[in-house]
Amino acid sequence: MSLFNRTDKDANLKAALSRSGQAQFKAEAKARIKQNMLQAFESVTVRGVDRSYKQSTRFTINFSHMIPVIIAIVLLVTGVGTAVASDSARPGDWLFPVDRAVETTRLTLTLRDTDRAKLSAKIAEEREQERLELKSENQETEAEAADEHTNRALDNAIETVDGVLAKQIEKGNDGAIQALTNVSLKLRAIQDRHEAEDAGLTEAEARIINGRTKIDLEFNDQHMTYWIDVTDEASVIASIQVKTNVTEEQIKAVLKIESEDSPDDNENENDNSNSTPPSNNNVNNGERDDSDETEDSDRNSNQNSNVNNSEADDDSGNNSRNVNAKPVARWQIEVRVESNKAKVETRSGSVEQTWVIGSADRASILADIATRTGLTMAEIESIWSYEVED
Amino acid sequence: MDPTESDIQVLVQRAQAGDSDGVAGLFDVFSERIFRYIRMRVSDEATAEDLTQTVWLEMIQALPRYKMRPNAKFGTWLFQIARFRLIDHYRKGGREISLEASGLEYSMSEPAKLPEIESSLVDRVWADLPEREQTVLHLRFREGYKPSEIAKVLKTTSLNVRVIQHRALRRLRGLIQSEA
Repeated sequence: MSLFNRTDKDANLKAALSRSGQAQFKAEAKARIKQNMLQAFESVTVRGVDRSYKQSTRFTINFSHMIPVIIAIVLLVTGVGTAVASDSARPGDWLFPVDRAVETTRLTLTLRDTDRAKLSAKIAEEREQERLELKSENQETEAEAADEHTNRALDNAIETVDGVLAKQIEKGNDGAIQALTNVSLKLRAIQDRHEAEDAGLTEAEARIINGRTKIDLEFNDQHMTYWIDVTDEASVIASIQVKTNVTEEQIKAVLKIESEDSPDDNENENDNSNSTPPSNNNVNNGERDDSDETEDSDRNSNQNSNVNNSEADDDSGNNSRNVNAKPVARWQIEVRVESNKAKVETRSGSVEQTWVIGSADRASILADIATRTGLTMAEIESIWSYEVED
Repeated sequence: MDPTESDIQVLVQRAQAGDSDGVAGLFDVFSERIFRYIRMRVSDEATAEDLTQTVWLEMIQALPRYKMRPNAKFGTWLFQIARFRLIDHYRKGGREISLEASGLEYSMSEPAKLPEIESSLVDRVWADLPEREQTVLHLRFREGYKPSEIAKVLKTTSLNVRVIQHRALRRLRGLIQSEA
């Protein structure tokens, strides 16, 4: 019998449950709260012709906006000891509200748009770091609260960074555009990872072994392992999409690809003719059941320390990488600018994309391609074919 | 008649467009449900009212960020806000016992006359349930949400919600047997 099958005993309990907890909300209190809420709503609503409701609006009188001023005064009087101590506070710690207030103060006192955007991104990254720490320590309730704080910080940071980025693109300030684009990409990667977790996909790891790929997933609290006969990122992502129904961007945010093949094998990774897969006989539609894969993977993993991925970071000596850090050598990018429009064609492995940008501005085009490909603007410039028609 | 989900979506759209009638409509639909959820978890009525007001003020601030999705309900989003405000409340003052052992401070809308289990027994032992179990039972049996919808409030999977529900019912049964 299933764990969740109903029993008569449960039916009585559930009936009692549904009738319990019927606290009455006093009419007087309800009317008062409604009135206060409507007043607050009027205050946050833009007083314009269309009365459109935007996030950037604020209360006319809001204590939270006075906090930075109070903190600044307190810092002047008491020194910065408490503020410094609060910097390491995490959700659930008594100093955490102080930490947030100090951050708000710093944001308020940061006058340059670009600096403020970077600071808001740094705050969001700090929230994410705190959340990951609490999660790894199995502090479930605190991690959930941290998750909420992270989401808010991310929303604020992305809005701020994108707003400032748009201004810098208008000004054509290449340095700032480059820096802010990278910040924006980083924030979106964090956001995608959150959404992937919400969708149930918490981990995805692809390991390339002898020209084939072993994929390990943690999906809806269950572990899943399978093999595919190809090694390119697009196919790996597509196979995970089929298994989980999670979006491509969300998969990219959690996916780690690791190669145990030699650099030469990696360069020819779409050519399986020289590879010797561990068990091709069991393959069905490019995948095989994983009931007996443990020995193979363990045996292969022992080779790991002697193998270098051609794109691996030499300093770290680690050949694992996030899929967002796409190797630039695999990309082909062609841009043709004509009549104030730019037609962009990209190719990475078997994936081709074509789109049109409604601008002939070089910096805008670079920023747009960077956002779509995950490459930096410098990387794009090093490989692209850029033509301007007279 | 209870409003349908599409009625609620219209109210949300109006509220997001700056229409105070939209936000007032949302308050009329959800205010008592949010209050009841909170009231079962704090020791006095005034605190429950304060927290209820906090939830609605926060809802207003967060509303522009709310995104309507095909399988998402506004109610689960609102309960998520309420749950986090409760967790904050516990954290500030140490976890409170939601109901005094001596009895209930509020009236029951329908005194229970169930043959086997009186609902007042549930109220009496409610505070002894862990926070997540309270939320799952409340949303499942008092609000009628599906496990997949509750999963959004708890930011977990629906399978996990079912596991929590099973544990919670078992614990509740034990508590009621001890109490009776």
